[in-house]
Amino acid sequence: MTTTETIEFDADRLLVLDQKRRTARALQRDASDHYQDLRERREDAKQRAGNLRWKSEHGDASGRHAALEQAEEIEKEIEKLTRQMAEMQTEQNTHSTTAGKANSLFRKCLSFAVENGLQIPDQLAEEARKIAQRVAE
Amino acid sequence: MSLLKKLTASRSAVTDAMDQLDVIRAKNADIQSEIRRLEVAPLPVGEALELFDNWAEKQAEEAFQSLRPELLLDPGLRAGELSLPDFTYVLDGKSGRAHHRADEVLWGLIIATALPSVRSIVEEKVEAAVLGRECLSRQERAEKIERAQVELLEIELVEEGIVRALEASGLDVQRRADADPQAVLASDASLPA
Repeated sequence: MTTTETIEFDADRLLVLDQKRRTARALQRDASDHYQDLRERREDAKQRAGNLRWKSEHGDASGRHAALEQAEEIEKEIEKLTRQMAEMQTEQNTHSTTAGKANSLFRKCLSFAVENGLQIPDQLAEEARKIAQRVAE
Repeated sequence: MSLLKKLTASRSAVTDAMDQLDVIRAKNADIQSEIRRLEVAPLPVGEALELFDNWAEKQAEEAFQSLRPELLLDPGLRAGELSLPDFTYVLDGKSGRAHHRADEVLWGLIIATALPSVRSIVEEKVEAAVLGRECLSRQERAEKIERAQVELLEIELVEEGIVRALEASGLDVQRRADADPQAVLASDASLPA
């Protein structure tokens, strides 16, 4: 029968979990940066499209047609950027959920390791010390 | 073995492992749900009525204690001085009389004088509330939950073994956030082969 007493623990496994949460966080940050970049590009495109629309209606008669064509081209780009932003938002949410879960599991396992007196890897000693302090309080 | 065959074999092994992981996680969810069911499974009617009997006995006893029947022996007591106990409360600066204690005493007296009838109604209601569910005594519940938890831990160890095998093959598999730290931190040697 498997019981807690028959299991041998390896606190180095915490490093794998730590790496996973870091990776998940990095992916979340990347997605967030990418979203921000798309948002800025979209804002810029909206500005440019607005200017061209104005030119197509109030600018030199000779340049109105070209301005209209360019504005329509940029508006297509805005639509594309909007779709990409929606996709990126979904991706960001997924990464955020994954990062949250990975972090929660890591902390639970670190607490377990601290409470059971396992030898915590040096890299995680500081975080383990904080947990031990909280438990003591 | 050619590289293509190796790749195909490895792909098939990964697919098998992913399928196994799904099965194990479903099994895990089943056991957790079974544990939750066991935790709230009703007590057997007999045990429930035993609780009622103990409570009723206490209520009746306390009711008579509150009434202090020995006061009736006091030759100086006048009939108007007999009353059900109550207490005063102060709320927003105004005081009033609350009758909670008196209610309890009345209930205790009812039980004391009509216990068999009250008990029979309670028994009927308790039996109806079981609704065909499995009833468990405290000991049966503890034993069944312990068995389920052992099974759950074994399943968790199997799951962790599969996750590590998949990770070793280069696949990034997410562990469940509610995975058991005992399994996640188990040494490779403690995982089932």
